[in-house]
Amino acid sequence: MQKLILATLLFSSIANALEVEQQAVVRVESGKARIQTVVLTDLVSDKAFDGEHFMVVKGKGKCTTAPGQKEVCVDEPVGFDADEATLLKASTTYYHLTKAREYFQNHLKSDYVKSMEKVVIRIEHTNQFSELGHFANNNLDPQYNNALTVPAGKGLASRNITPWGIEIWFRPVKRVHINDLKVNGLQAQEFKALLKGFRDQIHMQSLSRFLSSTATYLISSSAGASSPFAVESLVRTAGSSLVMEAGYMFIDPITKFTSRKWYWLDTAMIPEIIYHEYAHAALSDYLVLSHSTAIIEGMADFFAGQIANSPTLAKKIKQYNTYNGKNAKRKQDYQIEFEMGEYANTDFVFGLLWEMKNILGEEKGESFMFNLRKNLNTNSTIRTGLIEGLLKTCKEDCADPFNDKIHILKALNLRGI
Amino acid sequence: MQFLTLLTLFFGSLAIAADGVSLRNDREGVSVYTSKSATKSINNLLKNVSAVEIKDTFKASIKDVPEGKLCSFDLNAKIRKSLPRGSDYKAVVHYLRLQNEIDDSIVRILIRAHEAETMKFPEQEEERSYFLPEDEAKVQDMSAAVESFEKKFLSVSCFDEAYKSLHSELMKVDKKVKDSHIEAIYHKALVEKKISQELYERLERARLSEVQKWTLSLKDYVKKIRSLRNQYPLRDANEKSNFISVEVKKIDLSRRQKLLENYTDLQIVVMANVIKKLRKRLDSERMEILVYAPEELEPEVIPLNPMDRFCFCVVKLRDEMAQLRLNTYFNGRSPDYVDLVTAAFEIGLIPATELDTVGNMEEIWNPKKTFWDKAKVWVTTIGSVASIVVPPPYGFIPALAMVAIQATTTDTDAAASDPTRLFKCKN
Repeated sequence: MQKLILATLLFSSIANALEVEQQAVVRVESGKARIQTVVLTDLVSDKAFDGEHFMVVKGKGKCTTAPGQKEVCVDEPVGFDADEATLLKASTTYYHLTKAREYFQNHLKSDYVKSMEKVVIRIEHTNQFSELGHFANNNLDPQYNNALTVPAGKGLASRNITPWGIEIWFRPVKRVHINDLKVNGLQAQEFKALLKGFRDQIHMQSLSRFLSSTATYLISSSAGASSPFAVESLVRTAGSSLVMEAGYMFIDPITKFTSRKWYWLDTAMIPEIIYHEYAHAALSDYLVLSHSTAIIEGMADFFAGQIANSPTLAKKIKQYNTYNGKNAKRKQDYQIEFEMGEYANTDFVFGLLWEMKNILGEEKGESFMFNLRKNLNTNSTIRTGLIEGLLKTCKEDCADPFNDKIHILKALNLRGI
Repeated sequence: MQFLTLLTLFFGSLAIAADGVSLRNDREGVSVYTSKSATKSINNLLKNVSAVEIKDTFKASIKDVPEGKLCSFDLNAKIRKSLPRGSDYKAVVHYLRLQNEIDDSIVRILIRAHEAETMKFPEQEEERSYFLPEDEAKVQDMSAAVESFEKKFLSVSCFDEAYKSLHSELMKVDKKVKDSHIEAIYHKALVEKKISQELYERLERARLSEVQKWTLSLKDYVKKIRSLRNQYPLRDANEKSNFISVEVKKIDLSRRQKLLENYTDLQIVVMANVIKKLRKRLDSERMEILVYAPEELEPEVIPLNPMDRFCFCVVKLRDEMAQLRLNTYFNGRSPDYVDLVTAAFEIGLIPATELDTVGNMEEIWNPKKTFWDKAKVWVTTIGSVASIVVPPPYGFIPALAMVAIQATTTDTDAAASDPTRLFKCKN
């Protein structure tokens, strides 16, 4: 274990912040994910992942249960002597969270982030969140393959639950069989619509061929043209239609048969997911952490993309993610379903905000999006709240409000909003 | 309302008479005539004539000329006379445009007049036959009109206007008079010594240049611009735009030239106000539909979401554009969207900085066709035939190609089939 800890403690000359070298998952220039040595900064401990701004804790921390008493947990940072897998997760989350924090504090000049208290990062944490009790009971539907940012809570003194600040929770990875997956069917619907178009074409083609051969037969039957009603001819004409129809009817089982059987998502190992979760925390001065909506997720995706300097999120990292990831450049038209909570994590809003940034200009667009949060709230919908927010922010921030407003509206119209 | 407008126009024109004439370009950015050959000819000109001399000559030529006496033919003659012999006159005009002493419309007026005056006269064939109208009475009447040209028309107006008057006189005599008949009438007048050789040549050049079709004279231009500026004084007289200098396809005119040649000042004002209303609506942050029920005191208020507001602006604009056709001022003429935008800029109702954005809004209901959009038509046509002709098992290939191209071509109005949208921009 010690071999893996390539920890070299570098005592900083400024303040008492420590720097430590660790292995972490990072994106290399090609965009692929690699494990590389990185320097973790702003640490306040030379033995554990405890920094000025973040403390990485495994699960609920160190829990003890006295006989007849309720379990009491104390946050204890993951030590540099932890096992290899935990160490890699802890260093990856710590490293990328530090990067995300620097982006919001130094690049976007966020006073809120600057004054934010130390954030507890929980890795390998399966408990559900409880607004009153912080952690839901251990037996209550343990969570895997996701991450969430939880709002601060006042605690419950009567139950010995101490107050907590904003926390980011990364769930453990778990292989899930395709049969157990609940996926949003939008992409499948798109594919099915295409297949339906193809099927209609094939049927029309068979019909046209049959009619033309019938007409030829009736006109020149004496010249020896073969009958279109002959079995061989009927099979040839209708064959493609039959094959197509069979394919169409059984598309779901065929897709299932030919696609990947096992899925997993190791959120703590994917830089963009770490950025996304921190973005939730950084934007929570206006977009409070109450529930997930398309707007809130889209905003977090946008800033994750900005920090990662990439329009794609959680892609090219098959070792840790076998789901689709997100792509801001994917052309999608608006569908009313995007407003629903179950579709909050599609990449429609991400793509939309990315496009808006390009319309306004790279530099301006970034600060524009950051200010956009002031004109949004947790109830904002795409069609009304987001668009009103964009227009209001443009009025306040755009260098050329009228022109930019028209450009924005034209782009939104093309998206079918 | 109409009376008020006319009153404004009348007092406006009175006010003009007191000022001197200025032909300075106050709207156009880069000239539509900008070309390498124009630049080269200007450079050659400036080797022989100084820039100051050209400008001073021009200013002196228009100084003290009353607006009612402005004449492109006379102005050309004055300038040519004052400049050194052999100076390239077209280069002079282009140089004046470069210096914003004149705009593209005046460049067109002056160069057209110059070409009509200086075009090489076709050599006369001795045995040439001329075809007079068969009706002798008509020939007599036409000849009389040509004979009285100098006295009746040229003495009181500019040559182009005089020629147009003569032409309409000839048309009055015979509505179906042919160009060959007019040529013969002029020749007859020359042979019978009713007109001089010089006037004959001028008339012939005018006929060959189709002067009767010229829609904008120098005097009309100045009157039109004066009227517009009096009604709508420009907030920024130095605000210029390249949008209005873009050449309109197939008609060889810039957008502004097209506007000034084809529309009256009153029409321009009406057109501009359509864009003014559009601009106001686009800026609005709140639009509601009020539904009044017979037995309810309060109407139902239906607020429009931002995209419905935007598309309402587009729909209403298109409605107003269609209404212009019914407007009596337009006599059935239907100005296009760019005409309206150019008109709005002409009288300063929208600034140059917004011109491209507002102008390009037409893409919403009239999108440019991409390569794939055009390919779609061909692939569908060929694919339909190929799907029958290509035998199994390869018959699926054309069908697949058709589906693929339909899936990849972008729908320019994705909202068109969305029932949750009240207003659709495209239809």
